[in-house]
Amino acid sequence: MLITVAAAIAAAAYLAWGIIHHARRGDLHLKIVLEYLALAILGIVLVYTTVKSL
Amino acid sequence: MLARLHKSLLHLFTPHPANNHRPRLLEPSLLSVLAAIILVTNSGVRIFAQVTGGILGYASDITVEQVLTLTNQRRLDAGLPSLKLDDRLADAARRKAADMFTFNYWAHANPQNNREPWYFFDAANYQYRYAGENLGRDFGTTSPLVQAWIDSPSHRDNLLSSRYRDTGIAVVNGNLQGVDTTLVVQLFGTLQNPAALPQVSAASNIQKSQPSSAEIGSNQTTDKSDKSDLSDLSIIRSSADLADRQPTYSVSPFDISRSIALSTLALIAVVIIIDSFLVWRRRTHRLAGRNWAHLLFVTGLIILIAGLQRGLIN
Repeated sequence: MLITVAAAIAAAAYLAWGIIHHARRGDLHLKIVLEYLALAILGIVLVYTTVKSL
Repeated sequence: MLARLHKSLLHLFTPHPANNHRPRLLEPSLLSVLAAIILVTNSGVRIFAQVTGGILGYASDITVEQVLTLTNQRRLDAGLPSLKLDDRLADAARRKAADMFTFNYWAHANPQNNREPWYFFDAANYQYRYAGENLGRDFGTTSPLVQAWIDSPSHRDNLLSSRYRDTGIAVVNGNLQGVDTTLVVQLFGTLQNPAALPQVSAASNIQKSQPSSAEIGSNQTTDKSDKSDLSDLSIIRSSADLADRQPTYSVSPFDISRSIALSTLALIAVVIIIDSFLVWRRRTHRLAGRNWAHLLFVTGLIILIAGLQRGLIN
């Protein structure tokens, strides 16, 4: 459980960083946000399913 | 047909004008589909393992011989003599394991009747001078179990103690606290007077209260009530939720899930690297996320998932 929470926090930080980074560069677009979001969700799912099967 | 397949794969894994200079695998829609597929697949594997009662469930490959071999290997590496498998200690270990399953506890001492490990040494007529106990559960193979003992100072003290001469090992499958598991009990001991106590007998009970000069000379007491002579008790616990008592199968849902996760992440990492290289070489300008940030995130996940172990120390 702790590992999944850690992965979720890392994923949220990664998403937040992506949004802030592109906003500061002036190229923030929904497509980019979705890209970060999709990869973050995939990461959480992979960690969650692996930990759950322990 | 083949050309079409080739084209699809190229679009899936490499940037191209047809896929808007971004591999389809890195597109949010496909990443979301991938996440959904993995979620469904892993849930399916887990449910299937539970429903079938072990066809894809977990089975322990641990054997008494392997535990003894690896224990003695570690001792030899440390310059210590090998431990001898003692029938009485093996009997004591089996009694301890049976007691743990019967009273459903995971501890050195039985919480219901306060029986300590030494009770089982006595019950098996092993008149010890030194005694120790290591416990393990939920490990799939012997090597991680012994490694976990080695990594824990208190367990290592037992495993690599020069005071012990004998060992007794029990590897028993059963349901402990609602979890089907493989329980490993390893007892360590040295007889009060090995030469005088060759076998279990009534005489041994008499001799335990009559310490030999050698015992006195070594400044060790034979009084078993003096627990200061006993090695630290050690428990190794794994958090795995094992689901099989059938020794035929050896693939666990954990192994499947971890393999799927690592393969997926490795594939994404490779595609990101290829994409970065081709975009850099072609000097492509496009609207996309930072590849190095994606790669950093994916690498972190790979390290996290690869580091997950079934066995944990309690």
